[in-house]
Amino acid sequence: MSQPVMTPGMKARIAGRLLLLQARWDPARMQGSGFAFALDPWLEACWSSDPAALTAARKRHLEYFNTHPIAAWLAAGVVCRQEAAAAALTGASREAAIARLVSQKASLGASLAGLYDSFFWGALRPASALSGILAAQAAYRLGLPHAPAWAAATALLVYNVPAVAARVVGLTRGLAEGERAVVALTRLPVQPWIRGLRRAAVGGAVASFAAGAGVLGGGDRLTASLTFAAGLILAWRGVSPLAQVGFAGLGGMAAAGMRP
Amino acid sequence: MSAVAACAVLAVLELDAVLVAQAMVSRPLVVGAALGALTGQAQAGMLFGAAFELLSLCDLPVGGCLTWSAPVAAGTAIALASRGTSFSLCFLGGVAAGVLHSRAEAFERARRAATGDALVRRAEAGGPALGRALGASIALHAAMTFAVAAAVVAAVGAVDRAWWAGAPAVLRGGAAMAASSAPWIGLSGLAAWGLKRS
Repeated sequence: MSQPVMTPGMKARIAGRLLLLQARWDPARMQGSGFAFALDPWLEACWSSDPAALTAARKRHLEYFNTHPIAAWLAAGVVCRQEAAAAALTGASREAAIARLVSQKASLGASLAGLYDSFFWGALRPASALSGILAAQAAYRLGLPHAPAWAAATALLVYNVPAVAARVVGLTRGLAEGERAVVALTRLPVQPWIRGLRRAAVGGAVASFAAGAGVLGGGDRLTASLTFAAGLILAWRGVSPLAQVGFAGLGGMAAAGMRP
Repeated sequence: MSAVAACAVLAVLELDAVLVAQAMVSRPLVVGAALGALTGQAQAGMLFGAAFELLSLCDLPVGGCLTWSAPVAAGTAIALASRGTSFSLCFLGGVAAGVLHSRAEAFERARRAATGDALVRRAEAGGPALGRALGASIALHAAMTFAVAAAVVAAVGAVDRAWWAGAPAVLRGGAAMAASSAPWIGLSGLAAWGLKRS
């Protein structure tokens, strides 16, 4: 059987469907149904001449799958390539290719999730949010109009330029190179990038505090500084920010109760 | 724009948090800017957007993590502000909506898991079954977000009108302190989190 051709239209369909990867997220299958939905046009193209094999292909992708939503684009590219290769085989070699595909998909999802979670959720997201907040503070300071719009636009740009690039490059290289694309990814200096972004977030948080507290009056500035210092200690000891807000509320109640 | 319409816009934007795209348009900062502009409460939008953004940045949305929904908290607080609700009550209403939303979402996810096997049986045959299931899931989630935000706006609005001005000073003082300290707590939490991990 000849391999189907991945046309730009097919790639766009898969990409569009990958945006719905978590549309039916559930604790049992996690992203399984969304991943199967994204791959379905390609599975139909690969297995069109063998309805039983098509049903089996759908079934294996409806099972549990979980990774970072951006990593799923690379995983989808790799899996599409492997599905096409398996469909071109027959007999025992096809069975072996499918078994390898299933096991690689599971391990790929888990290993990519760790890397992508750390970079996109744990480093780029805080850095992008802080860049947005700092942009708004700068806009207020400079007297520019629409400070909230500056904040939103900056945060969206800082996050989405790398995120969209990672999605598109991941899918394209996964389709073209298969597992070699994953090997190439592991050679990127991602850990230094993560450390750099986190340090930038720390610097941004301190700068944002200084800019925010700097415009307050004496008493309010002292309260803000004490809250920031207490927050640093409590957060270091693992107390969640929302719990700290609760403590602040209790402190406010105590202070109000002591007033004559 | 009315508070009800703001809740509807919030329900659409919030879909980005988990179900659709994850392009960060559901982040409180963006929700704050959008709803603030639409409701004529730009200042409140920025304030609540930044506060809830900072408070939620250390919660990584990995696996089935469901602590509270910061986008819903920010959107609900701004919808409340558009009705003239007092600042501290807007903040508390936002937190309540965020926590309620995550509980409702946990229920929604459990329901999806319970009906997953039936969906797999239908989807194996191909056709539109899977696409329809995904569409229904998105519509149901948006409706749930709208219902939670609108219910909290109605309830907190009623409390504000009927009782809050005459509430004990202790309660009002606590609420005011919680709301005004939130941005500083968020910033310090983020600084500590980054220092620990870099």
